[in-house]
Amino acid sequence: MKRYIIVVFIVVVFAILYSCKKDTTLPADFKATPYTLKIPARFPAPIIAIDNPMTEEGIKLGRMFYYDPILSTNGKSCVTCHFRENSYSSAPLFLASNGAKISVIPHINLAWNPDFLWDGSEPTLDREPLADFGPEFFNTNMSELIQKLKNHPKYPILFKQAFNIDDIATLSEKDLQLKIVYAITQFLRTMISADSKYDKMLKRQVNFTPEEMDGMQTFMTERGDCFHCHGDPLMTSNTFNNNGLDSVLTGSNLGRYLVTLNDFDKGKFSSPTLRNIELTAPFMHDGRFTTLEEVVEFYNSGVNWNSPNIDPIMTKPAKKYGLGLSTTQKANLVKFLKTLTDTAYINNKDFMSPF
Amino acid sequence: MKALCYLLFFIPFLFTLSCKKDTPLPQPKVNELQLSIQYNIDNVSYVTNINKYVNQAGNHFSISRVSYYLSQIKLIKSDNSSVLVKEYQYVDADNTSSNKLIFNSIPIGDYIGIKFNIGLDSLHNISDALPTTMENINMAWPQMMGGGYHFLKMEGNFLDSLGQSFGYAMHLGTNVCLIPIMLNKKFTVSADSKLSFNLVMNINEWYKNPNIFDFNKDGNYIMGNMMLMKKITENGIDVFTL
Repeated sequence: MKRYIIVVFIVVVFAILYSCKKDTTLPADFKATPYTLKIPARFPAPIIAIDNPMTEEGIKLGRMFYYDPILSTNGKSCVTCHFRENSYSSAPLFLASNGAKISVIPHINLAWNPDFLWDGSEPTLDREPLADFGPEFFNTNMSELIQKLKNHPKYPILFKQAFNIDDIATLSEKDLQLKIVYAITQFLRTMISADSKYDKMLKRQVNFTPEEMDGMQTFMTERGDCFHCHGDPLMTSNTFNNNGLDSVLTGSNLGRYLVTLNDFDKGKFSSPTLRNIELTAPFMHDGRFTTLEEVVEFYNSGVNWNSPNIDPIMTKPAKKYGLGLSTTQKANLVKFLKTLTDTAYINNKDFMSPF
Repeated sequence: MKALCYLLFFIPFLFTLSCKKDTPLPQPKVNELQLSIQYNIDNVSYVTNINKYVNQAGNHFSISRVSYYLSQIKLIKSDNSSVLVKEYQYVDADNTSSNKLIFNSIPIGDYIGIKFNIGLDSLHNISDALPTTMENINMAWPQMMGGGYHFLKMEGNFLDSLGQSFGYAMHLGTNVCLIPIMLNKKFTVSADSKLSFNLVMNINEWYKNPNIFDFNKDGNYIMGNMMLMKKITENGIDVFTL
């Protein structure tokens, strides 16, 4: 009996040890599981890169990289600048190496963006995070990263599952960066917001207050004329516009011009989505406004008509002397903007840290 | 033995058959008609943002955007019956592909013209009636202003009487501003015919006939002002030539 117990014990110990062994082997015909985005009603088709099809495994890997400081030598990860409570944006401005202060763009509905960054300097989501490996952000040591990933208990199998890569160390540094970025952008594309009070009101699940309704009237009509650049349902036209922030344009305020060198692009910036705008202060590309009230007052009375290439929508006759909104109308417009806040989005567990 | 002889006899035939050149299958008759939309400003070529044009009112202006819908594109037969070739089409003057309309399987016969609307017919001019493409979303006419879509967006800059540059935005919409166009053109569609016509928009026609539109006097923004939208609507009748 005693001998029998010893044999069973040895078998159990081996079984446990075996189960703990790293397993990077998958069936030869293993294929990552294709993932189809759930497109909210009335949204257009998302922009999915042909060379980076979405898979369950790719998204899982990307979510880990989004939160894991393993990519950096300074303890930073994506969430160092993209806080959940700020709709994956950041209240502190980002200080670029050229001294420019830049408002951190929120990660929300990026699957519908045709270009990225305020000046559109990155035309592809699947390349945009590559810059994060640089000294301004992660300051990544690639050879060190390769070793860390290779020796990690989870990443080798995740790379195999997501991209069919048997050995991370066989990738060139450039290819490894690209695969990491591919995984992160697959995860980013899943970050969809379409469940705000505004959406629920359209679905007749909730009612707007009279103040919110009045604010929507200002937003969606000529009274405030916000809709031309922030139209439903994405709440952005995905275009570059000069909204008349400055009459004299210098430095980073030249915006899109710095990318195209076309004089007609001076002062133009990507018009951002207003979904979750309440959570993403400070506002404008340089974060010059700290409250929505300041933003509304700018459009009401502070637009610089003589700004080069100011958008034609900003110069309609009635706007020459400002929008002329009353105090109540301005307050109601802010109330409407707050109906675009999607708390389900920032509380979505699928977007939270997997660690 | 007999079977083997038969087999040996047929094998060369099988090889011959397998080496036979494929005879192309007869292609379906396309009976194609292509419309290439082109733009000018009183015969001056259209270039976004760069050239300064002059309209009938003497306004010096540039153009940053011309986008619009055509709807109910029909070919008119000699017996005055019509063939619908496209329900609606979004056109962006700066997007080459959207300016090339190709219609296939046109019925054989004699035709006397082409007609269509600038703007969307009432069945399509309803919010969310069109597929939710980015182009359609950006042409949406808010529900709170009646819903549907912009029929036309023409934007750019002009120099005011003091020589200062300002933007203008000619945005047209609502069912009463639908512009019916009828263009006479005799042509015959025969089997396998491939016809190609240039459909030319003179952008200055939006500002001159029958109503001279002056950015300085009439304004630089028409959306929401029915009187100004009607002026542009009436001018739109003859913006196209074929």
